[in-house]
Amino acid sequence: MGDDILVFSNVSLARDESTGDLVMEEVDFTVREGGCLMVELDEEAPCPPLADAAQGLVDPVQGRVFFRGEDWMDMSPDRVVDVRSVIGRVYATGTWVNNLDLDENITLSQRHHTSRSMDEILYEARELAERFGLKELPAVRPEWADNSEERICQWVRAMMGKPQLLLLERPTREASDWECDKLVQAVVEAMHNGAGVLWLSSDVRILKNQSILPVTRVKFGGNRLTESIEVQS
Amino acid sequence: MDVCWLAMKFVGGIGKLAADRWRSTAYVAALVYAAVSMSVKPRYWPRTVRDVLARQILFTGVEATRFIALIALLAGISIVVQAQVWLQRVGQTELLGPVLVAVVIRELGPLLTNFVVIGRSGSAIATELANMKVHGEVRLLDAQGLDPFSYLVLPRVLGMMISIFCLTVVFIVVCFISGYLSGFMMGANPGPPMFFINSVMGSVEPKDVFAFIAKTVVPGLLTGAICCAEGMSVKGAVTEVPQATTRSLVRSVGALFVVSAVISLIIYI
Repeated sequence: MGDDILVFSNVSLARDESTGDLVMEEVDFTVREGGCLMVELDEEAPCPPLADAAQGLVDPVQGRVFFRGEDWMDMSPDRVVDVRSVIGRVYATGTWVNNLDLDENITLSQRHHTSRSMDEILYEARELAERFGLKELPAVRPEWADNSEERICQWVRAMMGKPQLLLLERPTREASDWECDKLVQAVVEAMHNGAGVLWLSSDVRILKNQSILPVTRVKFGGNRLTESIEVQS
Repeated sequence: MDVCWLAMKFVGGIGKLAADRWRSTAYVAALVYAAVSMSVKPRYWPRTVRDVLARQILFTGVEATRFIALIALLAGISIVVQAQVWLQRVGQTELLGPVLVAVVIRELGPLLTNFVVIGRSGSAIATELANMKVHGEVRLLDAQGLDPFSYLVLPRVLGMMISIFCLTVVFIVVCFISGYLSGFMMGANPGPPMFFINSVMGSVEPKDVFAFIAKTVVPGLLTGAICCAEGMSVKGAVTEVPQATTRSLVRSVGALFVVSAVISLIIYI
């Protein structure tokens, strides 16, 4: 594996800064280039804010979060914007900008951060969509799309522009086996191209999947990460 | 003791109110400053932000043109005709230009246009942003590396300013045309068209042009900033949305009158 992409160093996060109730305590892990950290969640448990912290959206009450060696807390606002532009994410909640169509949502980040032509961006988006089983990009508002379309559009958006880090929050919920396999293939391919992956899941098809390598498997329970198992190949 | 305590509480309440008002005014002023200073830096204008600006101008400016023209048409009929009729009766028709410039260009045009835009677009901006905040869309933009200020606030503030300026020009032109034509039809004898135009244009002084620009650009920026600030101030409950909208309207109208009065005082006294 390559360089460290994401490092959590003794990180504790609060649910509400005013009360200080901890939702995550003393978490340590590293996601490297071409590697995956698979976090097993209980089926009914909400997603812990690991992805938010990984993007510098929440400040830890203790510890530090680094992206490629830079502490999120020390980055300038312009640097934060640049770094977030190379992170792809499938969101557990709050997934779409509702006054944009799904295709506009998918291409939004690339249109904003890059000078790639619209044709090139759309070509990549269509290719990814087809790969996941969508015939075309839905040009409808998010609330009018069905669940399956919306889920696949989230995958497409996360993969756009070959991100350096993928944050996947239960991406395969209600997905078919075929769709699951396609996502795993795409993620493994991204890992081969040097992306690091933080995958939060309670789906046994993903947790038991043997093709996602190298992987470090951990379980999240009682606000902590436990049972770390590293599988290299 | 009780009286003293009550008096202290009363004075404290006034102080707190004044401090809150000062803080919110300073916040809006900072938003306007940030928007204006960012607007001249090309790196804050990627195509997505340009798209939002274009949509904002379309919604606030272009789509409001017909309504503004209708208001101007009716205002023209009532104000210009009245001015023509009364000035003719007192034999002061040469004052038609100065009176119209004073009433329509200096005050009525900017005020009415701002009112319409505040009611039509200001409330829409506050509601839209408040809903985006409640539904986590602002956070989503942030997560994708789209700075909410440059993507949401900057184009809306500038879009409001540009739209209000252009709509006020439309208002004044339509108002004068409708006033002239209706005066002509009602037998008020406004004279030949060139006489009317020369009478109005000859009365416009440089300070009127400056006042016109100030009374459209400054309230436009303030309305945009206030509505965005109120919309973004929502924490997360749906019930906060209508409250934010109401606050944005009240504060925008207040700011409009204060700015209009201050500009008039500075320029004309």
